[in-house]
Amino acid sequence: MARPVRETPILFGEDARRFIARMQERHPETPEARAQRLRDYEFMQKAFEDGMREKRAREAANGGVDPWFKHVEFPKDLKL
Amino acid sequence: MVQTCGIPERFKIVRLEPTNAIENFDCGDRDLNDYITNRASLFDYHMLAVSYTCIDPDTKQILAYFSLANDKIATSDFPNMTEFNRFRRKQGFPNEKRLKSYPAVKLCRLAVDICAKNRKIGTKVLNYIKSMFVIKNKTGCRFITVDAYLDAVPFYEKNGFRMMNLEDDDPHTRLMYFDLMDLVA
Repeated sequence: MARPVRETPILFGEDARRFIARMQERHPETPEARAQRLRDYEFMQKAFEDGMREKRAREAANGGVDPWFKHVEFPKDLKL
Repeated sequence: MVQTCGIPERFKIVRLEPTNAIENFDCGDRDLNDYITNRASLFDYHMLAVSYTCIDPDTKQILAYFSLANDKIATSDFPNMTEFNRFRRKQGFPNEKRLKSYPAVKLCRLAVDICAKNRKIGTKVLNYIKSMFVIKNKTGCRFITVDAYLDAVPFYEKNGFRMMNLEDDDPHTRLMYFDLMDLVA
């Protein structure tokens, strides 16, 4: 069984003080890092738009099922 | 020897439906593999997370998987959880001055298949998520949070994440966050 992801805790004491102090500071990314991030974003956004368009086409051609993935159904009353 | 598969320049990203399950994926961590192949659909079905995959369209190999959920970071004036609970029992739920929270998005899981390691796909995914919540955010979101596996902590630190708690002694993971305001010029 996969380990659950820990919930984000309420920050107290020194952790809260440090967090709020860090929020007030600005640590801007370098121009190079910004340019790389925006290039990655453009690339990934296009990959997402293309990927979703192709997924919808596969589903339309296969009765609503995407053959690239295993198809699973859940009963309506399924509990987590 | 680690084999490489897919060419990052060609991959597609797909948002999974709850009816879409992943069969073949190996990031080298049994726990993560188990979640991605057996549990992710269930979380998507219950609307607790949204799953995305990066896929090589030629081989249909899943190169990377990530899932997102809404989150928040809350801070309290109280020195510790014991004081907080004592106050809550006596006074009812604390008022706004006692507890402030900031909207965040949780990177629930991020995994790269063994065959696509060392191709900076993880960094591309992080840059995508960061930009997604700065450029096209539909709701307010200040932070990205992650419960990082210990061996992934250097990766997140390299990408600007910070530790949430000074003393976090969990044997498996560290809670970390990234401030999206750092990206606003």
